[in-house]
Amino acid sequence: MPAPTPAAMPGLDAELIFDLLLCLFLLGLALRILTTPQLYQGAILFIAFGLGMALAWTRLAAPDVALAEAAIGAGLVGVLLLDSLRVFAPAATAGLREPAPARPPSPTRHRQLTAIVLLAAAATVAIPITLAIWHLPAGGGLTAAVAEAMPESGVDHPVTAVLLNFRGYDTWLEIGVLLLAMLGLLAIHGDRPSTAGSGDQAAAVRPDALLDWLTRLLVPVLVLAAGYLLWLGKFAPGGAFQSGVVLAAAAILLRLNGFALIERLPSLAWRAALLLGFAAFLVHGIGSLLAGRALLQYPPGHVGSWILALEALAAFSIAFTLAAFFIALNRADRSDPVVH
Amino acid sequence: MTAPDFITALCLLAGAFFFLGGTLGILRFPDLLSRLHAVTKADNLGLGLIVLGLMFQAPSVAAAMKLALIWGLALLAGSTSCYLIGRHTLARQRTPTRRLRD
Repeated sequence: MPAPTPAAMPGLDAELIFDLLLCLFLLGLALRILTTPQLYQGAILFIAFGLGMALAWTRLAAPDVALAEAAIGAGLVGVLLLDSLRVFAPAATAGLREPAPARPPSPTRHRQLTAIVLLAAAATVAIPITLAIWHLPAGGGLTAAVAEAMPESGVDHPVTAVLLNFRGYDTWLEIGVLLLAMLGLLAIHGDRPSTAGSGDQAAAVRPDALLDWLTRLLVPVLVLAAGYLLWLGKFAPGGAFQSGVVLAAAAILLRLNGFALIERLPSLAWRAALLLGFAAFLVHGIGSLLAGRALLQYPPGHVGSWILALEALAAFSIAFTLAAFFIALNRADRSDPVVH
Repeated sequence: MTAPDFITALCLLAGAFFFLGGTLGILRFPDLLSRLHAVTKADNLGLGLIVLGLMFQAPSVAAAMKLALIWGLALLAGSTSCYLIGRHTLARQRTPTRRLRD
């Protein structure tokens, strides 16, 4: 966990106090998440932890990361955690009214071994990170190099320049991680979510005039906001992941109101939508190598347009994958015929 | 302190008050529906007042309008999600046997 460093403005004591409190809050929350016996409580606290982390990123003047952390780390992952709990450990979420049973206590010896292994793993990660922070060059690392190369990057926002141009493979691999997670879910659930099979939930949702009206009003606005975030990435914090999450929220809202857009897609189109972002990077990478450029290097001229196109495809795939996650987990709970 | 700064400070304080009230409501109210009531007050009025306060500090009219748009989006998204949660809770109260299935 990167600790917020109060290095931004020395001398401002109120900010230092706030940052220290934030550090304590995050550490305490992390400890609580690890030690709480109730999985449900752990999931809820994890959402709070994600929001706290977003605040920490804001304090570190990294609004891009803060946006992604709040939207994905707190929002969507939180929803997915709660949904997974409901599917795989129904007793834990039923604990809203009745206290959830604590996990069966494991034998002391086993627990000690686990603690030692976990501590060793944590130390293996924490020590190099601490050393790395200690040895950070005073000039701000690669900041100067990035600033120097900005005119060639095709965009005006350094974070987008790094993520989509200078280190495009980072974004590529992140999309790959999402895809792998989806494959894992498919392996557990056996199949993609579809309207066929037990409990057609789309048909089971009762029509609701107010929700219908809200959905019809909100979804176009969300699509517009997603497009805005995608376009904004050229100049300011924004981009494929932020845009994709907003788009996924629109899809989830539609789904909750009974529009089974994603499940109605033919199987091939469904798979293609999942793969689109990753495949676009793959084609771009192979193409750049074949053309004699470096891996993922854009052809000269119109770099900004190339980046926007690649980001648009990535955002679509990210949105589709996240929404499909939600729908797959949500559907697994609804195998009983009871309406809601 | 200039007049816009004064209005900003007033609005931010009032907004913080509503957020504090909403948080207290979440912590103290007995059931989900009244907690929802508390949290919507914080979201709508608290955020509205903070946005209003920040609009007086905006560098341009366009930036101020953008802030207002953000508030509008939060209002719309907030009421939609609150309505979804409320509807789900009501439906669950009507079918109390469902959760006891396992």
